[in-house]
Formats: sequence, C-alpha cells, structure tokens
Amino acid sequence: MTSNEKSQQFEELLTPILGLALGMATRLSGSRDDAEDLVQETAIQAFSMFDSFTLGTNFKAWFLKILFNRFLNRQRSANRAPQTVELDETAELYLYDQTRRAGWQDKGNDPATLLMSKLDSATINAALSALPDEFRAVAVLYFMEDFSYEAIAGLLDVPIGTVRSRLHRGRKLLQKTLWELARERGIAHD
Amino acid sequence: MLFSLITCREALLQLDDYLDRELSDEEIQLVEKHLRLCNHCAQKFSFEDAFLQQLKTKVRRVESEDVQVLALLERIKARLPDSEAK
Repeated sequence: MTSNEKSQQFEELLTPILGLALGMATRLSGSRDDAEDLVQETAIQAFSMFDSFTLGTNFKAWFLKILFNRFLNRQRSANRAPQTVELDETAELYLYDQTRRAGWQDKGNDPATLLMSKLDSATINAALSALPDEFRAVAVLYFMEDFSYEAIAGLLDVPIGTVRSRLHRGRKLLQKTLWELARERGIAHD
Repeated sequence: MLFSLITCREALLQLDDYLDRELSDEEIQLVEKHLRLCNHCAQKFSFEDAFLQQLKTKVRRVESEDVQVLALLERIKARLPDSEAK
C-alpha cells in the first residue's frame, strides 16, 4: 500500500466516526476547543499506528480507545490533585427520593420526565463534564453509545467490576448534581 | 415456587445491572417476577429507567454541526503525510 493509499483508507474509516469522536471529546474535556485538539492529536497518533490496525475490525472502538487513553493520560500527567469522590451516604435512589419529598409523584406526573424536561442538554452535559475524570470516561461511553460493561472495560483497559462501580457511582453523582442544579434554578424545592 | 422469589432489597441491589442489561436471563426473570408483585419496587425501577433513557437522549443531542466536523476533518487531513488535501 502506498502512503497515499494509506492516508485515503484512514480518512475513509475516520470520516463516519468523527462527529461521534468530537461529541465524546467535548463531553470529556468540557470545552469545544480542547475537544478539537484532543481529536486531532488522537487522529495523528492513530494514523501513526495505523499499520497495527486490522482492516475489517472495529475502527470506531480502536480509535476511541486511543482517544480515551490519551485524555486520561493527559489528565493524570497534568499534576492535578487526585480527584476524590465523596463516599457519602447518598441514597441509592437519590432522585426518586427527592422528587417524592417534593411531592412530584403525587401530582400524577412522571417525575423523571418532568425533571428532565426542565433541564436542557447544555445543563446535563455540564453536569456530565463535572464528574471526576475516571467516572466521566465511563459515563460518556455508556451514555453516548450504550457500550456494554465489557466493551467499556476493553476500551479503558480496566476490569469490568471497575466499570460497573464507576458507572453506578457516576450516575448517583449525576443525580445529585442535577437535583442541585434544579434547585438553584427554582425548578425544584426541598 | 416461594424459593424463586427475591426480596425488595435483592431486587433493588440489581436495579443498575438490570437497567444496563447486564443480568443473566435467570436473574432478569427473578427481578421481573418481583416487579410484577411489588408495585413499590416497580415504581422505583420505572423512575430510574425513565431517568436513564432521557439522560441518554439529552447527552446524545448532537450540537456539532456538519460544517464543524468537516472543518475538523480538513485540519486532520492537512496534517496527515501525503494526504491529497495537501
């Protein structure tokens, strides 16, 4: 394969998944500019490793693995203080309990739909971006592509149990954050 | 028959895995049997499921316009060696 053919083949595989990669990178990094840089750098790295990719296999998964590893390695090497997650006693069904206390169930509404209808995508994605890095990576893969625990574990090179734990705890944190946002905006009251 | 039923606590412990479709067929059957019998748990499962589905919908709402993605693709192509874009 000539160098030009290699570039062409790479571009053909990259083009259909680029929008998804950019969307995921945006939710990971919280900034469109950072996301575009991340995707660009990932594409350059992926191209340099393209000889190791087996044509006919899952290019999307291969590319995303490089992207997520790049993101997480960058975060770790940024000398940030370790992100701690409050191991508080937040109820397992935090949002369910909060909406019950607020009397939303009594009004004959679907409380989950009611809450989510009042929160726009930008707010929800901001809440997602506020998750600790390791939790956010799992959540982005799960919410955007419905990847299984096993697939996420493969992409992030972590055990399935770790994926499960981070996803479940991440969802709990999201519920808490979204309810706090709803309260701040007067959508919900305790 | 009684020994094939699970408690509310056992059902709720499996709620996240159930919603993520990560339970075995047998485990799913046990959970669903419980939900048919327990309206209290059924409400909780329904709430969490609705919340998750709508969260997914809103997270996936694509704000990247095609023109932005195409512009990014062009920048990437310009950095690839021997790309026709050069």
